[in-house]
Amino acid sequence: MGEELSALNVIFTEFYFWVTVVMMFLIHVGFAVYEVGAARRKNVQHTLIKNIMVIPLVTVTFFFFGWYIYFALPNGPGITGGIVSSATELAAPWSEAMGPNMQDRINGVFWAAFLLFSWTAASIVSGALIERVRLGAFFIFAVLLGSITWIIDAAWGWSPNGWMVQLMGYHDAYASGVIHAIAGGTALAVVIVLGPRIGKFGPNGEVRQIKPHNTWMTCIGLLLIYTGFWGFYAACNIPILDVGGDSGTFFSATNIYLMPTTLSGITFNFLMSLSGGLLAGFIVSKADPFWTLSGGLAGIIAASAGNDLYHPVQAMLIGAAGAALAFKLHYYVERRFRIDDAVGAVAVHGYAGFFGVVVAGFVLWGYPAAAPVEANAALFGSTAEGFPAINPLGNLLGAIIMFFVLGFLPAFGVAKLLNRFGLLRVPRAVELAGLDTHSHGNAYPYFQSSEAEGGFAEVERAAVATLSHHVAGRLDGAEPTGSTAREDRRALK
Amino acid sequence: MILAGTGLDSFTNPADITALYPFPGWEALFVVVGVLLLIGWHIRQMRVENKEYDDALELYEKVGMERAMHFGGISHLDTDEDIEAVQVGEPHVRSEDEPREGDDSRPLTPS
Repeated sequence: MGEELSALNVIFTEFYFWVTVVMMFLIHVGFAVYEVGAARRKNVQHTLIKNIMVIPLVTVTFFFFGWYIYFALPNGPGITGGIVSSATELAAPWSEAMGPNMQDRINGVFWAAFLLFSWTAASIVSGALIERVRLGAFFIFAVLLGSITWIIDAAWGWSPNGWMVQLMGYHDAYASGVIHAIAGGTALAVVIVLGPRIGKFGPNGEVRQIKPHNTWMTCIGLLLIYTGFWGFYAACNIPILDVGGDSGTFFSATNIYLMPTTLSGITFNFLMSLSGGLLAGFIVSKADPFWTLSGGLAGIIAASAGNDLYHPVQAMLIGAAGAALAFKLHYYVERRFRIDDAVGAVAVHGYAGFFGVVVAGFVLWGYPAAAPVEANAALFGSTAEGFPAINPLGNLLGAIIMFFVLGFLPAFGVAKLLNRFGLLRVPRAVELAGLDTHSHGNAYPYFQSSEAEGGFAEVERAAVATLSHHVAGRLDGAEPTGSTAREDRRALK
Repeated sequence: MILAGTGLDSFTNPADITALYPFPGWEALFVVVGVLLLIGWHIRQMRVENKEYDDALELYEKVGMERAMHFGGISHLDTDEDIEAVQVGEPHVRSEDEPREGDDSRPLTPS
């Protein structure tokens, strides 16, 4: 900090990341608004408290072990090396660098920027589970994804030294896979074990639409997520770095892999991919506001893997394709497999993110992924200068690792375990009465109509008839398990 | 005169200062305490939920799901007498003076 220019650079970088954190907070606000709007009025407060508690739970666990994981595990361990010992000094929770320290100005704000990514990941899962998941179960998934699995994938595929980058040429600049595909995979695993909301599917498999209690809120929530997404994009960059190498000093912004890009370029591409997604979402959803806005989000997510380098029109087209794919796949999976993803999170984040990573492998084929680490030989090709090269196979395998290996599998195992002990899903009577009913009361006490569910009350009354006869039988075509089975056993006593 | 301290007593030479927080050297203990509290928090949450749902199911069995499903249908059942009244089928008749659900019990104007 002795030289003025160096000091200014460090303090500017500190301030830059600090501002991104404030902007990214809006993502969390957006998720809360959007999910509350998507819930029925009897579940509003339960949905909101779920989002609120992501903040402290993921924050403290990310302090205790998430940040350490990022620096300790880029080699696997066991793939390109062992646990990185210097991680202890920088990021172990007992390190002096993990607190106010006159010799460090960047660790806390950099930690917070990654932490806000963690909240985002946990919030993505949250929406898919609304109206039937137990709070305690969701809290465990939030910690699992927010402070363990996603940060492992960041160490592997979102760090210049990560083994996926070095060996496979994996490239995912703005986290199509690193955040969105893994969160989508996690959400898919949990909703499969959790099962659909009561009445979502009829006895013959017909899909029933459970309407949001406030479509306007869901749309405002999505717009807030867009706003926070600007901070997300900025936080994925290093704002000033000398990228000149042997050719002399040349200052530029870089992506997370320390490869050059510009804030100008990502601004073009953010807006063009958003627009492509909105245009496609508008068409495929027949101008439905919720799915048009979700299409915009899917558009950004699909193009994010390569938005540091794409041409804006490429970003627009990839965004449009991602939005259309997310919409079509959401309804196909819902019909075909009877999976109830309440807000389309698996599609918008998971499928669009997976698609985006795969596409980036083709479109950016041959670009340098990161500076090579000595002794690592890229498996799927290098540039003439010896840098691991971006390639289709590396990104395809990377997308699979993000979505299935780190996203789906751990969450599926934990969900099965929680369900085994009856800790995953609320009892059916509680679900039917509303998750707010027994603990919070009515969130809209001055609106008294009991038929405010768009005709869904009739379906629920039919389900109540099953309950009131104490029949531990099939409901929605599924055998009760976990919490539901426990409730039935209790009712039969 | 300072008789005791928990960390720094001077900012005169900032280049020599590292940790700014009190009790440096005890960080590992802070972390152990924090982790234990967090684990305890999760366990408590699961236990509280189990009891909460058992209580809810018990109440719904007593008053019937039809009432529970009506928005605000159980909000006036604060006492055992209220629940028993529902069980024996006494209709809940709201008097003119009784506040409506959601009304603040305080009067709007000072008495």
